[in-house]
Amino acid sequence: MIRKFIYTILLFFAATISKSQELFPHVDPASNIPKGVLGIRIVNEGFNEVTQFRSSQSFRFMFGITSKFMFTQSFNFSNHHGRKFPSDFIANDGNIGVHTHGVEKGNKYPYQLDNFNLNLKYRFFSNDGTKNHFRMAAYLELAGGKEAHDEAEPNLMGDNGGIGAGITATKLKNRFAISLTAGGIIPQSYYYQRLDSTLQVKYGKAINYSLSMGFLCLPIKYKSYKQMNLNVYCEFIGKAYEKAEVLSNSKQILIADAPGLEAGKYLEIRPSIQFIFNSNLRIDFSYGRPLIGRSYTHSYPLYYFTIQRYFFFK
Amino acid sequence: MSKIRHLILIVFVFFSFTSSVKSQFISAIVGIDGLTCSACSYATEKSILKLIFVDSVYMELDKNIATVFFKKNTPVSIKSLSQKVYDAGFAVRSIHAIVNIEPTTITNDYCLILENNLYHFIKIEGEKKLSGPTSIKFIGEKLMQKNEFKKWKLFCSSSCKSQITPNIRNEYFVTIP
Repeated sequence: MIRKFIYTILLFFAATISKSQELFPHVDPASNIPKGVLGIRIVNEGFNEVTQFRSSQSFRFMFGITSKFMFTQSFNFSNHHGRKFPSDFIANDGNIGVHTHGVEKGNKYPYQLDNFNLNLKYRFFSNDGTKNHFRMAAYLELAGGKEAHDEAEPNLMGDNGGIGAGITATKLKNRFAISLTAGGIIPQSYYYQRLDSTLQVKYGKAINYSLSMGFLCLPIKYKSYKQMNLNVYCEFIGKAYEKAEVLSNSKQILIADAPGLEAGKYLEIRPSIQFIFNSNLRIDFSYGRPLIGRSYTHSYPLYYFTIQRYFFFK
Repeated sequence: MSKIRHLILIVFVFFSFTSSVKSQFISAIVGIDGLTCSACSYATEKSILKLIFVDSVYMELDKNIATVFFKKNTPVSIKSLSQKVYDAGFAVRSIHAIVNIEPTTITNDYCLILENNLYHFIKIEGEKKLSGPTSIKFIGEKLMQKNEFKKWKLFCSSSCKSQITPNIRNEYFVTIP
């Protein structure tokens, strides 16, 4: 069923190649925001987890320093985690597993600032033609946060502090855009000093990968800035990550039957629909579900609502 | 070229005849590469409008062509105009400017000084009489497509270099299309 759906989308894109869109809702293209322009984006993500509705908001401020170099400063808020692990994160038997509350889903947490993320992007290659371009960019992201994240998978846009870097290549031809991103993540460990012990959680290093495709549906012919743009996207997003290690007083704790703390890999599909008003205000609606494996940092399905606007200065 | 752009250009050319000819540059048609969405065109237009010598911009969204109208009595820098396209994240495909030129006869490698810039005419066959509003095509690395510039590079000689004085801001290679 899923396979048929993907083939149908791919065929649809392939058959209608003829102006395209690279304003991908989830993964940034190799193109940058124009020099001296400020972009503000608010990304809302939500999913149901047992009896909880988990929601996160990412407030992103993007600025073009030069035509090739830009930065994005994100502040991520959610009700995904607390600052501390539950007291029974390590069970009485000294191990971690499904029998502890620590890795159970559905715990209630306050809505709070998770982390901040600074992303620096440099477009190092451009080959622009009439209604087409091929561009490549490298990015470096630095994140800081102290969330009690209880999964091995690192997430620098919310759950973890750490460092990430990668490369994006974007090809755009008429109405169709395609972009590939590959990168790596080295997360920071979580430390918590208790009265009589020290808890350390070492999250797994990860490789992140994505394939994004976009297609401009409307307008058929550009005539004015006031025409509404309608774009559809299909993004495939995933990670492969190492297992987590939990240490109490520097002694490794045995983890059993806790898949979220084990090594893993997954690929999600995230189709989106995007509306652009007055050639500036962008509104995206997205849905996400797993294709291969799954992520333990969230439940499925995922729902997204994103709003973005550029601010031009004289 | 659309009928509206033609009409606007003709009106500007008419007014340039009847008014004083202090500022020689009237308008420029800039072909832009890499543009694929109206939001990109909007950002490029906003970038060009930051230039103090630009009066207005008319963007043909479907053809990715910007017609830029210059202010009277304000010196124009085609280099700055090109840079604004690159600042927006795109590339210049071509620049043709409409310039008021005093009656002159030019030949190949003719050097003309306008508004403290030196215009070096290349690939001119025989003699050409120029008078009044004239369309000139700019030749240069960031003034046209890279591949096209490779073909023109052979014609870019240094024969006008001797006329460069401290007052000259830039030397441009141009031709009459």
